Amino acid sequence: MTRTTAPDTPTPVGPEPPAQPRLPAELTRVRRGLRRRAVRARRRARTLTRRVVGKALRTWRSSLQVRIGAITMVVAGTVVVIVSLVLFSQIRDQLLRVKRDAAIDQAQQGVLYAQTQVAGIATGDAASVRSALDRTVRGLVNRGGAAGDFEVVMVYRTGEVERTADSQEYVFDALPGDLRGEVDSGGQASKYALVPDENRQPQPTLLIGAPVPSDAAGSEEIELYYAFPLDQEEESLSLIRSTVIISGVALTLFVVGIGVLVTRLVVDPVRRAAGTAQRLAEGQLEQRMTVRGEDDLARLATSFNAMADSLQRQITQLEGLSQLQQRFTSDVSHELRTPLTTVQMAADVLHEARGDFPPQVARSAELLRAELDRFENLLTDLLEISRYDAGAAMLDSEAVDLGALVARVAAGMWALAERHQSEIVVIRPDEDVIAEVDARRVERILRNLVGNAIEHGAGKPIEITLAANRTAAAVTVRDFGVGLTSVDAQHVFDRFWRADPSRVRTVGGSGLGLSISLEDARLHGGWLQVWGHPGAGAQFRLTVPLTAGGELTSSPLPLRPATVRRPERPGAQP
Amino acid sequence: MRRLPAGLLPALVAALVVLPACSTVPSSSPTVQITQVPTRPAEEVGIEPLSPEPGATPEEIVRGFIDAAASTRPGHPVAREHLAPEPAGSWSDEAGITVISPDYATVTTPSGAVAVTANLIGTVDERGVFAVGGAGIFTREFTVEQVDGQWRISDPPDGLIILEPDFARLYDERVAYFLDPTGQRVVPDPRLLITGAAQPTALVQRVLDGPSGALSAGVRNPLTGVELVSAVEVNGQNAVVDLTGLPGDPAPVLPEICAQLVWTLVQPQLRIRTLEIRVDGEPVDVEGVPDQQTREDWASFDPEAVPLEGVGHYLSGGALHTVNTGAPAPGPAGTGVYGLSSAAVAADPRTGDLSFLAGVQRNASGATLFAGNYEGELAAVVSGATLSAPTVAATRLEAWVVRNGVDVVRVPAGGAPQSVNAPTLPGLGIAGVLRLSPDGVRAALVVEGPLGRALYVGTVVRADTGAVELRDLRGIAPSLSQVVDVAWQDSATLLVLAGEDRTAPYSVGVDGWGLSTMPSNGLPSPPESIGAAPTRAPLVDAGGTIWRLSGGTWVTLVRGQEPLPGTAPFYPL
Repeated sequence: MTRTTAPDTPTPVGPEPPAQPRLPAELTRVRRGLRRRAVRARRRARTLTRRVVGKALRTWRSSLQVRIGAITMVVAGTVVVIVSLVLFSQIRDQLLRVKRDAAIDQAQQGVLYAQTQVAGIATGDAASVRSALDRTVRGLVNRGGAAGDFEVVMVYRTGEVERTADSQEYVFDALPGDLRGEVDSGGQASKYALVPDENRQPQPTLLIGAPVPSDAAGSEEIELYYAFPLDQEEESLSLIRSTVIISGVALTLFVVGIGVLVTRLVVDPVRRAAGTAQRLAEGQLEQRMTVRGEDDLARLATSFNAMADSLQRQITQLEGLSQLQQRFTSDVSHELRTPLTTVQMAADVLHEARGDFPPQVARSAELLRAELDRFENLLTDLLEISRYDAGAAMLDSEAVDLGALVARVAAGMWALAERHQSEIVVIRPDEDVIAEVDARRVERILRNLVGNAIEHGAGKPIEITLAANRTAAAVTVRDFGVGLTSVDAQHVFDRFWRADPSRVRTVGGSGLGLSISLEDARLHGGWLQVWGHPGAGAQFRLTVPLTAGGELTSSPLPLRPATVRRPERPGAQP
Repeated sequence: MRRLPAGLLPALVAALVVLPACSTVPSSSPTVQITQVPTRPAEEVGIEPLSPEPGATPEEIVRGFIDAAASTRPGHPVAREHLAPEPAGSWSDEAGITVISPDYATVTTPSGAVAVTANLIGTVDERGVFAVGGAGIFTREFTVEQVDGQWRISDPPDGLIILEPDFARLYDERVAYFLDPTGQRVVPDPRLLITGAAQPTALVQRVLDGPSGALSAGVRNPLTGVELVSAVEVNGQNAVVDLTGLPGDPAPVLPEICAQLVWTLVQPQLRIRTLEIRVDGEPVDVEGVPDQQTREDWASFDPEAVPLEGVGHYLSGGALHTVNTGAPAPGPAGTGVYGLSSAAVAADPRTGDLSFLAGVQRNASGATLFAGNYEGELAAVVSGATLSAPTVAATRLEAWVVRNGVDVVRVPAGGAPQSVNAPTLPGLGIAGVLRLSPDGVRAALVVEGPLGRALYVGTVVRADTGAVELRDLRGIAPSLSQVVDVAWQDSATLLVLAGEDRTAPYSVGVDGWGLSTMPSNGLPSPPESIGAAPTRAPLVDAGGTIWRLSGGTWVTLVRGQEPLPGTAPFYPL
């Protein structure tokens, strides 16, 4: 799920002009509203696009059939498009070349004919010019030719005075200047251009221009222009084009259809196998594939089934073994508890009476009692953790003020801190942080973390920070002791793990405390994470959702301290 | 499978985007040259005017411009070289021709322009119709400007200004033929066309474009609306004319059209002997006429047809005589009972026999016109203070006469005299002579106006109602003063007797072009009247005797004998 945050709409600042006291305010409001709406619409569109793209990408990634279909389509489509283009351009070029050749042929015939006709123009005789132009054009139009419909324009020019035969003024006016220039310089030329037809609609037209040779020494220029409208060619080419497009699309679809059909034969069994494997992975160990026929897919199914059989067997076996172990741990703990209670009672008696004993014996009695206490703690922890292993731990959530809880823990650890010459600094928000948590477990986690911090704090202050946002609350416990390496940080939650095996444990220290804390945090659906750096101390962070069963997306406190520094502030809170 | 369309989409989109993108037909492209075999026609050889010389004075430039008009090159490139660049592009050499006499003067005016002053011979309009210049003087100021240190003309008048000798050298008079209203003859309408291979086409185009303005009311043109399919093709002595735009059923007008075209095109001057006429590419089908038509096939339309028995007549002592032997004509008129002073004889257009005689008798009360059968009795039909000599045309049995110098009267054979409306005649003066052309479409008049007796030609217009009008009177030989008499040598040529102090015979085209003197050697005294007909030798009376032109000399009627006495010679038509 993606979320986009709208950019803050900038609020206009500065005094409004006093001359228009109300209107600008209203305008600004309207404008702001419009902008908001636009921003919203844009956001919606972007969301929609992203959703569609995401969906398409997911489909692309997950479906082999779609991928094969799409690739086939792209490849086949490209080939078809290229072939169609080549085919079409060949047909088009051929058609136009035939037309052009015929047109040139006709134009040159026309020039020869016109040459015989302009011989009838007498010098200085306007009437013979006019009639010669008219009858030449009429003659040329009547002659026709292989190149289809056409218009003829004949230009007679002496000096700058140009005359044309009647009725093709619109063609004459549309003659492009460069063609006229080319013909004027004495060459025949052809050109495609838009020329109006009899309805004055511009039509793609093939223009052929040719000078009509006349007396070389005269100042007259006679030019002959043929205009062949290409409407018939256009019509047939459009028809060919639509045929090519339709057949190309049909061919592509056909190829894609074949591709999809073939893929389907392969993909369907694979998909069934994938489904079976997925269900198997989800724990439905009895899932098997149906074996049909003797092909590759049947062999796959057989192998799969064999694998599933073997997996099921091993998993069942392992499960049994695991249960046995858990039961054993639990049983051992229970069985040890009863004799331990007796031994503890005896040790207490000895302890009470230690004053009467010689000093070495009294010391032994003290040691005995202390070690028995530790043993009992160990047993309790073992029992607790075996309860987690057995999945029997239950969360007893209620609304708790985490601030008070943190304060209580800090107070409880005060004595221990005193003993290590450590100071406990609690930083918490002013308002209450109410979270639905199991207070006993959270207290246990914090007590554990603070104890650890005091133990490894090397007499330096311990900082406990509480913070919350709308969905989550976090407590960090920071010490400035020897710190942790990144390797240590990976193992700090392992059972019975020690950073330095040679070090003597003086407090708590069953070796299971952080494991239990991690399990407690997980039970809340929360996180328990550690950061550490050799020489810079360590920081643990507990993040829990404010509501039971809530989901965490972020933590209100950073795991890594913003600045690694020694706090100078003496104002410690109990 | 559900996701398949998602994969389909890109390919579909690609196909649909890429393919239509390659448009079907190009709508623009660079200009591509077409390799070709150059087909340049051989340059025409001819005398060409010279380009302006560097450093020429403005006057030389103007003279060079006028000289350069004498060119057959299309567009007159050399003439353009005498112009400043801007007018060189816009100057048109097609707006008619002004023909001036070669002895013209160029003067540089104080403002720097060059003034040209010349005698105006005439103008030729865009249809090639010549109009005489009258007594006008041609003046024109050319402004000149310096272009790159050279003088050039900056305001040339559209059209050509050409000297008469150049014009006569480069332009030919060719006759376009139309039909007279009765459809019996083709009527000549002379045009001046530039020499060259384009002449046949240009001539046919002139016929298609219709008769000249002065003639248009008097003739018919069945080729109106008809167009040429292609230029007239001349192969050797055969020409091919391809027409289009004929009426739906061209059969009724086809003979007329063919006659018109054959008479127009089959001319020795054009070096065409036979003519093939096609309609929309198909040879015309006229019964009894071969595909390659000649003038002989259309001899019935001959504008120069005269009656076979049409020997010359003259009057001697009031009696009608024939010229061959000087014998009197048959019938009462030959006996001199009517005391005729002038006469005219018309042949029946159907039979060709001489059938209608009209003659004027002078008497104390004035003059009286007698008319009747050639060999029969005559009856007085018109009388007045004065009557001009009667005249007839070959197309109708009808005599015309001018009464009292202003009223034109026509007398149909066997009918009552009718007045001919001549609206402009009284304004010109007193008409002394009236001669109908052989085809009856034109009339030549000698009118005594304020400047003396001048020659005019008018067009006879016959309305559907029967009213006849003589109009479009135009002077055709202003250089001839004191015209005495006129006769039609043929439908396009007039013979004129004129002269300030000594009357001499002249020949002139019906449009005024081609005025030339005729020989007068052999005549004992200045001629007083003249008679002519197509293909016949002209007759004059000089000093009371009749003379005939033969081989450039006037000879007596009967070879080797004394001249026969007589006056008012004429040929029957």
